[in-house]
Amino acid sequence: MIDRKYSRIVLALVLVMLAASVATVVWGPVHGLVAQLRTLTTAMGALLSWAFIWLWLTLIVGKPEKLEDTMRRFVGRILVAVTVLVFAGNIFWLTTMWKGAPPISIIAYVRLVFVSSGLIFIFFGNIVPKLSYQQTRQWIEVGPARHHRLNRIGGWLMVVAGIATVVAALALPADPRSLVGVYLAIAAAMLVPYLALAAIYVRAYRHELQAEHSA
Amino acid sequence: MNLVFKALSDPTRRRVLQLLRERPMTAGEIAEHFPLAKPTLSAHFAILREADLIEPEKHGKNITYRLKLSVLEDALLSFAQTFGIDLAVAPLPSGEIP
Repeated sequence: MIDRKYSRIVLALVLVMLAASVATVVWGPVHGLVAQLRTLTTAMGALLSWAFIWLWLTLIVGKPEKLEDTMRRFVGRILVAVTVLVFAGNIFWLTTMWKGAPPISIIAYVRLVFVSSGLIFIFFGNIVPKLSYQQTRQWIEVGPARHHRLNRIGGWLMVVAGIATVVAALALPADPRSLVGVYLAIAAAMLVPYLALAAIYVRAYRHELQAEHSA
Repeated sequence: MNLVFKALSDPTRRRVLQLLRERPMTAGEIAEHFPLAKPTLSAHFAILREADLIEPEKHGKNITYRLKLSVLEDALLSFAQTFGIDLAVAPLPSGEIP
């Protein structure tokens, strides 16, 4: 983990955003099924971006003990700062939805959220391969060599996914549902190979440990 | 970023980074690939460390270097390699570090 306190702050903000979005969809002054669907997909898409970033950085990057690691602290603080900004923007947008007068259209909001998510993916993806090795939770421990290889591949995947997200957000037709669909496809294309490789590495590391114990 | 460009501008240092792409290596293992004096190679290591492109790890008496490239730095290095920039070891005649 980057740092337990950073990841908890981010998780708390993501959960509050989720609750606020669901409350807006269920009880908010939204008229008609299509509008409700759009609001729902918009809210879910925005939240999933942050859920993905949180999942990635809290589970994959390392354990929080070594607070002297300035790079890790820097990444953690940037993560919290960006999440707070998105949180504030999201809550502001949802509040104006309740009043029935959002300052920008749904599609503009979706594009804005996805462009920022893409930029954040690029920023964090670029940094991830530079993070030093730390022992992490036993169930996802892969050892230093595989950790660096995994972070390098993960960083590249994240940067490519970020670029694809920005391009999709700017170039695709103005339909929130298609944008969210494309976003989910990009996120899956980023996460699935990474998690598969991580699973292979975890197994290989466990085999090594068992072989060492039995020798 | 200037430090990174400075570090990547030299073929010897790029070759060091290429070697470290394969696996982490000790200073001695890296030195085997270069017909350079130890102080010259140490100066190259210092420039790479200063640019935060490699990370030294102490294992007993040995120092093992590992690659520490961001995605952008990795792409820059690949760009230099792909477009035929000479990665052969070519120290300056005077032996000075660029």
